[in-house]
Amino acid sequence: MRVNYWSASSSAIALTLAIPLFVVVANIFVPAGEVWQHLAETVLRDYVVNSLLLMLGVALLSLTLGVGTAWLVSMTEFPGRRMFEWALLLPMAIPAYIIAYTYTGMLDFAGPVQTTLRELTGWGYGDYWFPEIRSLEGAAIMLALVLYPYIYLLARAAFLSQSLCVLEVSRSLGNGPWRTFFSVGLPLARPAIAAGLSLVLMETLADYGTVQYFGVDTFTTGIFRTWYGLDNAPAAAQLAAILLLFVVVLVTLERYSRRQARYHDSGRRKSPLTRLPLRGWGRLGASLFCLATLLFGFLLPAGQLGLWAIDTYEEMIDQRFATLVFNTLKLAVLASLLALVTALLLNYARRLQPNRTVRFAVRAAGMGYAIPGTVIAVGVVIPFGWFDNTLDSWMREQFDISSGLLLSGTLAALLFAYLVRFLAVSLHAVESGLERITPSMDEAARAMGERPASILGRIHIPMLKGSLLTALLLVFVDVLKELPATLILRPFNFNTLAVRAYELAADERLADAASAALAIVIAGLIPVFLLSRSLSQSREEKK
Amino acid sequence: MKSELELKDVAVAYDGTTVIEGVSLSLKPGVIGSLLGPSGCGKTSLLRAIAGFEPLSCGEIHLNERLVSQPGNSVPTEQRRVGMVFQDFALFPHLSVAKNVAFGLKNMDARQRDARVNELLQLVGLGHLKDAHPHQLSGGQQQRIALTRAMAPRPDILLMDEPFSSLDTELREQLAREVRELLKRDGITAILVTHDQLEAFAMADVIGVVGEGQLHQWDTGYNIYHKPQNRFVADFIGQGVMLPGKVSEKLAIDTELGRIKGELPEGCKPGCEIELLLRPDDVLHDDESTLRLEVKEKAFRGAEYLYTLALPSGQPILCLVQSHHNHKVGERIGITLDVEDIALFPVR
Repeated sequence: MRVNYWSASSSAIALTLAIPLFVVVANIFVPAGEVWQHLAETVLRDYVVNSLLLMLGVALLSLTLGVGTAWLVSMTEFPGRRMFEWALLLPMAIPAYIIAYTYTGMLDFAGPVQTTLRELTGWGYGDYWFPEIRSLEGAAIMLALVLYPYIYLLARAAFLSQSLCVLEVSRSLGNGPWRTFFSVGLPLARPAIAAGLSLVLMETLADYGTVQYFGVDTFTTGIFRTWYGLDNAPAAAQLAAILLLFVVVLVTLERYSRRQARYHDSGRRKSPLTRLPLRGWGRLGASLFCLATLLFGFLLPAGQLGLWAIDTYEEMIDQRFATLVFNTLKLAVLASLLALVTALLLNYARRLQPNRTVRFAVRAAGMGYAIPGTVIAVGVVIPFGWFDNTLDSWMREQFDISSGLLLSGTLAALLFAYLVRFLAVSLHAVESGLERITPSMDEAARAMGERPASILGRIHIPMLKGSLLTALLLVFVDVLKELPATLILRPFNFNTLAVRAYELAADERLADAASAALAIVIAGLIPVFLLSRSLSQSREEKK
Repeated sequence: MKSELELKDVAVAYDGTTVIEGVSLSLKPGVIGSLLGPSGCGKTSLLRAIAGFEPLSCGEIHLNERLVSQPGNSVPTEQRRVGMVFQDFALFPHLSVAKNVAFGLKNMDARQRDARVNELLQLVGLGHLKDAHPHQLSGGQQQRIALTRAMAPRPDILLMDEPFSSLDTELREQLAREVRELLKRDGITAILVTHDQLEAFAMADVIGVVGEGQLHQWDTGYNIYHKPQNRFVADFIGQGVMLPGKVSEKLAIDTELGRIKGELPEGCKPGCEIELLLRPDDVLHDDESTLRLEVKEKAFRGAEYLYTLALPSGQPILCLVQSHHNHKVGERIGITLDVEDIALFPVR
């Protein structure tokens, strides 16, 4: 029998990428002794309750912001609508831990808000009540402010793709525009909204920086504490496994919703929707609602970071900062190239050999996007450490040489973790590019006398260029923003912008952290720009 | 005269399931052939086998007197000198119209290539669009560019897979005529795959009716309509009814409509129970006729009415009548038979 190289190599990639997952799940069966008993009796309940409450809060707020703004910009007309359509994506550029410490700096006792309040009223310390941002509610608000764009994007697309006919049928049956929205528009968009919500909740579960900074005990902080504080790997892995259980529920919800969304697709729209022109208070309210979302989600925190950076950049931007930037870029470039090569290999395997094994392998390889960085990190450290120790002791016994740490504590471990977590991004970008090259284009080229290799050069590479660049950029930015896996897996004394910003903020040096944070936010604008460009392109095509 | 394309007992299979088998046909240079059949009948597989995209599980394909396909051995598509037009046109979106057309022109210098591209674009009346990109063209324009691109390298044979199916109905007929004219002018040998019999009639000199994994008949349009070789062809092409009858002693057929005379196919023995294919145009309306039948249903077709008439036994027959002969349902109208070609089938 001939060996099928595509099936074999894509299965090998998928299996390798699944190692962290297998390790975490397998650790359920490793006795963690008294530590687990201790965890279960004391903090486990808090982790579950806090994680659930956090998810609930984020869900409510991000739904309000995401669905509300999506409906306004896609179905109605009001001043600034065209600008808000892309500007509402801007909060995606700010990682949650950065917005969290920015708001902390703005709202704490010495911050600009309370200072102004005291100046206006003449109150002193202890004279008044001020909401505490560093709380579970605060964390929910921070996360929702930067995560709602997931819902916004999917809900907006769903509203725009709704067949005008369906809405017109409702109008012709005597329903007004509002009733039509609640009885037809919203239910039709529900699967898309649910898919967006599950992405938001996955990010919420994966968050470490915000909850740690605000002192909210959730699974991610629990895993860190068990790992570093109690030095108990099996117990940390078991916490990670419970966290995975939550993730599985969300992934199932997302998959199910996306399938439903296909059924709910009510067909191609022929003519552009006539937007409902808002008047009077509605008009003002719509503008204000979108403006407030944008203001709190992006303009205020980004502005504050800018002010701090202006204050502190002279001290902060030095040789050390340059090393930081260089480290970060090196890591992000390597990771995005690695992800791109892997994604190309898997996508071509699926194109050229679309059998069941390959299709399953490609899907499995993309699962990492749902797994929190903390969980992946735990799943990487345990097997890599075991490998290094085993090899080392074997080398000592056999050759009296110490092989030391080959995998764990090196960039290799970190790059592998990034690949597991972000491959899906690359896979998706390459896939959407490759889809545009229909099989009949390959065949047309062959009929005109081209060999497969030259088809790659004359058709595939020119047509894929844009998608490949997108794939690189998106992973690049994701690596830049990633915090928890980097914290656990980075080599000793190896810092990135995200880690440095986080450490400075944790030391209450908020203004000093601004330069690194602002660099991350600016890089984060790249995917927002790409997204908003594809939004306006899809609008052009509809015309 | 040599033949441009020859298929000998060809079969195509996917994963061990045979989709089409036992196909033999040949096509002379300059002739336009068509493979006509319902969807999923294997006609596209056959075309793709000719192009070299599918391997054969049995038989041989010769292109321009060269053996190009046999089981386990296939000349790659790029060495076959075939042109192919796809259902979705498969224009390269990153290339301009001129560059799309020039794609297959490799063994020419730049000046020759430009000249060939310009000549072809003028021919299809799209010279002014040479710098446009495919997405800026209408469906009909894209179709013409796809055809031009396939014709540019002067292939030995042009293969067209449902080339008109993504276009509007009115555009289809017009383009089919235009394309036929173009191919005939350059004497191009071509095969068109389609499920639309009118398209096949309009384009092709010779039509192969494909169904249920085999080629049923390879013949002219007139013959597959009036002299179908089996029931599948008779049912698939046009309209008509099967009229029961009996071969009489004098080698004519006795039916409820009387004795029908004509040249009978071979193998018809007197006394044999058979069914006769009666097309709507075999039944003529004649007010003078003594044979009068009741109108059961009528369908207005613009120039004609299609009447469904009932014989005394209840057997329906179809009759195509100029539309100013407007009769009511229930009325009895006179008819005469004018069966020129007799198509007989054994009783089921």
